[in-house]
Amino acid sequence: MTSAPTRRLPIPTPPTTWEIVNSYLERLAALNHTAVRDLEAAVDASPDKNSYRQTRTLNLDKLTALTGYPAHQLQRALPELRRPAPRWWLLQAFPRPACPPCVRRHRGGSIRRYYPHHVTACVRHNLWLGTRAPAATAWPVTDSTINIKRL
Amino acid sequence: MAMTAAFTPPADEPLTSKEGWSRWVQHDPRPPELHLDWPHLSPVEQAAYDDARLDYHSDLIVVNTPTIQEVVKTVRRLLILNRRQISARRGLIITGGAGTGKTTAITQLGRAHELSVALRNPMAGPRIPVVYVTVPPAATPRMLAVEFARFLGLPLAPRSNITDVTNAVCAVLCDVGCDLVLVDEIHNLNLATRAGAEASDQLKYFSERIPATFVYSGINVERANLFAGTRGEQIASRFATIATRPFAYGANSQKENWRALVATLEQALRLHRHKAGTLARHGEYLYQRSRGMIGSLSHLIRGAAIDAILDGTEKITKAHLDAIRLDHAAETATPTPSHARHARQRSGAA
Repeated sequence: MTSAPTRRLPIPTPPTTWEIVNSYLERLAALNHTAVRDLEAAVDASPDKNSYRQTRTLNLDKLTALTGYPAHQLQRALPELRRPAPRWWLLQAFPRPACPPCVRRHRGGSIRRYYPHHVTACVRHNLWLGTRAPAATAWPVTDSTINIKRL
Repeated sequence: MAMTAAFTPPADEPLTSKEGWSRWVQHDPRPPELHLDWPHLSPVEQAAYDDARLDYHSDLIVVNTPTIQEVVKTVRRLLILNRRQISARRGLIITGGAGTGKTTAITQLGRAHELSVALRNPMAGPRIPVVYVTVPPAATPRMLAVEFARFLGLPLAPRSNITDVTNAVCAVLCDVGCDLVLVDEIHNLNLATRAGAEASDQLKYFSERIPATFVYSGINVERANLFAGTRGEQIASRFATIATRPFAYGANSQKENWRALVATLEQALRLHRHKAGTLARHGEYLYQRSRGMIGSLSHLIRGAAIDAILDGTEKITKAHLDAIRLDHAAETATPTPSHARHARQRSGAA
């Protein structure tokens, strides 16, 4: 038995730059007063492992049908959907809340997105965005043992 | 390896979905231009030309009948009256026999309202001013709520309970500015049964939650127990009714109305050899065939026009009209009293 075709939501909203898929689905669900799990089922989303580099997979065609936005626009905004995969080591390991004034026009609640390692504040709005220590994977790790000699 | 073109089936977007409804509202059938040199067209051009005209005649114009005018005028008034109402909003029920133009009236009403809202609000946005749903057979409250959700395109899991569905539908309809809800086939609700009564309660709950004017349409709803019992009394106290009837053909004014209806349909035809006024002269014959049902009349004229294009005569003749088989109701309807009286006079029966 085939599932019903995915149809466009009554209140679509565009993704913001470098937004994570979870955040986007949560905003869509909040705007359309539905449960996130229903949207996840509609786009065949894989289970959320909530772990770095364990990005979620979903059916891009269904997400396109659900939101009405073209696939290239979604892929540009949502790095988890890019093929080939983006250079994750350039981004900080864990997503952080986006600067609220920057994403004010995006509706549906708070937005979580990826930032590069060097971005810890919004220069435009003078807002501290918080930081975490760079992930171990952010450094150029080699197989050879790094010897740190005492000065 | 031979490559075959991928088959793309037509989208499953009926009128009871926002996509299908929107496409229908935006659809603007333009009559094809008549080519004076049509006998000299190449076979390929001729086929394309005929196909465009066949397509046009398959969906001929909608005549703005007095019933449609009354429905649009009444609902426009109700929409304004209901603006400040926080509860107990007034509604309208369109009732009448099959084939008298109820669905045409209700859909034209929705189209007119949606276009007027789009005119007043040119900025793009998630705006759904009109919802059109049909009551499914043996409807239960959950089925009704799911019909609304299906119109909106809300993804719902099979496990969703009626409260989730109802809340989602009401919240979304408030957000998208819905102010007109059209519910067709209301005669499928039978208040004598428990499921029907609960479905009626569900509709009432929707009318309380959604700040919109509700318009119902169904076949002879007064005979379908819709106004019976306590629930029925409440519906009767809030809803006005407009009855759609077949056109009459007795008094001179009625004959004039019928002739004007036929003439309006005739002037919309795109046939090369058809003389204007031919069908209007056969008004009485057309009335006898269609029994005054506008749906049957439209079917009769459109069918004859399609036959005239296919056989190349390019004009509607009596033979074309005779060849069209109408619906069972029109073919087997009992004669109207005036016809029966004439028949008795002709046969000399007492």
